[in-house]
This record gives sequence, structure tokens and C-alpha cells, in this order.
Amino acid sequence: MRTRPTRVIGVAAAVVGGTIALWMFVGRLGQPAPARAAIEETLVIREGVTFSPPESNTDAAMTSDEALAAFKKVAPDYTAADDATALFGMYTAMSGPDSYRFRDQLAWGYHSESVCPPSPNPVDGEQKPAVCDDWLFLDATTGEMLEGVTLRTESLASPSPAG
Amino acid sequence: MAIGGRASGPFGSSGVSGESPVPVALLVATLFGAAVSTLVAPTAGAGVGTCPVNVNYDFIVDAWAPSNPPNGVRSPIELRKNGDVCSPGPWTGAVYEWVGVYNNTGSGGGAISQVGWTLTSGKGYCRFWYWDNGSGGNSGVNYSRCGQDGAGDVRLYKVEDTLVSGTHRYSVWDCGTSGWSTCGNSLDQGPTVANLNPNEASAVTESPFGVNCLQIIMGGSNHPTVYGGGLGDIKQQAAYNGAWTSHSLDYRPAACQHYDSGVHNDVKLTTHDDRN
Repeated sequence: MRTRPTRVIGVAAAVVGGTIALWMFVGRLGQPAPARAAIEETLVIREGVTFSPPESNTDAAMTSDEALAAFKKVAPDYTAADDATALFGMYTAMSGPDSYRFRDQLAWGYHSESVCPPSPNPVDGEQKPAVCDDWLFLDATTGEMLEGVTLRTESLASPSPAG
Repeated sequence: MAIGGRASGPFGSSGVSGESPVPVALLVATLFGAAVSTLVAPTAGAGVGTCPVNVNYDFIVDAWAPSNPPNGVRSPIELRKNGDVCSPGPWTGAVYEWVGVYNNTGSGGGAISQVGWTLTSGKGYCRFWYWDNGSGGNSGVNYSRCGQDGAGDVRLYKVEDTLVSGTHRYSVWDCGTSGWSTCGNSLDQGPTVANLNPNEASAVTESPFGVNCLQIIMGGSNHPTVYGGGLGDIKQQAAYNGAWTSHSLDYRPAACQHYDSGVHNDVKLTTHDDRN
């Protein structure tokens, strides 16, 4: 049989512990989720387009959800990234040998697989349905769209560097 | 093989009429309620159903087919936001409005460099560009500016033979909204001229599932998609670094009776869908 002081201490400890736990939980509510779902190795999306690990001390200003939500205020019809895997990194896209559309831009990259759209090239010849890698890159600070690309999965394996 | 004016496609008729989204929609609504069915509705409306297996391109084209390979083509393109594309089945639905150069001769055909607007299921209205060098390399379909431009907005699109590190390439350009002198850097250096070897330079409205009128292209009769117009004519370049001038264009109507053109001459093309 426990004594009264023991019960008081137990209740007090439970209250203090619960308060601390509640304080920690509430405190986390207002903070971004961990922003280090970072890409670990440089990924070549296609020739001249890469997604690289961020600097070691660099965090995303927005979480992937926050960036996507900001983007979808502008582009509510864009649902392709809703169930995508989000990775944080530095996005670089060359537009020529010495020019860039984006260079080491901190970005969230959203990757998913989906059925391909028909090629916009009407002289592509026979087309069979295929699965595509679909990427959307958003500015990690503002959620603004950088760009996206849809690549046939089989194209990823053997892109022609010749151009 | 010419682009436009025929009910063509490598697979023949798409057989769209036999495919209805209604059972799927009913099932979804039954299982998850109307709110969920709204969430899974296609991007631009639920009117045109699921994309079929067979791709049947249909086009409205203003084409320039010079005796020598064209050096470039440019045009302002005015965006309209009232299209409707099929929802993903075997394919993701899309329509495209573009200027570009391409090789459709059959021998060595399939090469292209193109830029313009698209409506794509799951993405909405975006700028796109794409190139294929006809030798197994392509850029993938590149999207940007999704949701950023409104109906009636005009951007200046161009594909031009450009010297890049000693190699001629059909580079892709978005020259903005005010004039051709503010092009800045190209969006993409594009495929090599030698690989592409185009025989036409055109302004094209294109629906990959168009022959049976499955998809609704952008623009209505009162507010069509406009190539050319107030910010400048459709123009072509005949030689490297040559002058941009107008040429005699070959107008090719669509096979779909709903896809129409109000104006089609050597400097301007308007396209619309009479269901808008």
C-alpha cells in the first residue's frame, strides 16, 4: 500500500511530465517539419539537368508541403505532384554550354511515376503507352515553380548526348 | 507524310466511342462520396472521358515548306484556357499549341524542335517545349509557367538555328511579352541542325486524341487561340542570321469537325473548338 506523499509525488510527476510533453508537442506545431529529406547523391535528370545534395548546413525555408501549397495557389490544376516523393536539393538546368535556366537553386523536387502524355511531336511514329518519370521542381524558399519534366522511363536509361 | 489535314495515326481509329467514364465515376462516387469524386476529376473538367489506347493526332496547321531546310520560325501565341483533355487511362491527356521546325518526310523523320502552350491533365495550362533529334535523343516534355498565365496572355515563341559552341542547333526561345529583341538566353539549346534536317516550319494546334474529337482544343469562336496578331506576324527565317519575313503558308484544316480556324493566312492563324 502506497503512502499519501508517494501518491502526491506520482501525480505531480505525471502532471509535470504531461505538461512538458504537451509543451513540446504544441511547440512543434508551429514549426516546419524536418526539412532535411535531402537528396543524397547527384541525380542526372537528363543531359544538362541535375539535382544535387544541398550544402551540409542548408535547410529549406519551406517544407515540401508548404512549397507545394504555395505553388498550388497559383496552379490549382496541378495535381501531378500530390502523391509524389519530395526531395530537397540544388537544381541546375543548363540552357547552353555557358548559360543556365537555373543554377544551384535550392529546390524541392517532387518525383512520381505516371502514364506518359503522348509526345507533342506528331511525327514521332508509332507510340505505345509507357510509364514516365515525372518531376516538378519548386523554389524551396517561395514555392514558385521552376520547371518540370516528363521523361519516358526507357528514355532515362539511354539519353542521347549527341543532341 | 504531312502534318495536318488527315485522319491519320499509326494505330488507326481510336475507338473512343466505346469508352465511357461513367461507370468509374459512379463507382468512385458510391464508394467515397461526391467530394472524393471531385478530387479525382481530370484537370480541366470531366467532360471528355478517359484517354484511349490509340493515339490519333489531329492538327490545324499553317505550314511553310521551303525547298531548303528552314532556319527558323517565330510567332506570338495567345493562350486560351477553355480546353478539355482526357483523363489518364493508358495515356495522360494533352493538347499542344506550338511553333516549330520538324522533319516529316518519313526517311529520317521524327525530328522536331517546338515550343508553345499545353493543356495537360494533372498539370493544367503550362508553357512547354520539346525536341527530338531523330536519332534516339529527346528532351522529354518540359513544362514551366504552369498556372502563371491568364486567358488572353500572349508570349513570343521562337525556334531558330543558333550557333552553340561551333555547332548549329535549333534552339528554343521564349522571348517574353513585349518584343523579339528581349529574348535573352534560349530555354534549351535544342537538337543539332544536322540531325534535325527539317523540311517544314509551322504554327500548329494539335490534339493527340483529336481525330474523333475526343479532346477540346483551346479557344472559342469569339476568343480563339491566335498565332500572330498584335505583337507580330508569324514569320520565318530562310537562312542563318537572315531576315525574319513572311512566306506563303500552306493551311491544313483538322479532320475533327469541331476544330476550326477563323483566320488562316500567311501571317496569322486562329484556332478554336466550336464546343467552347
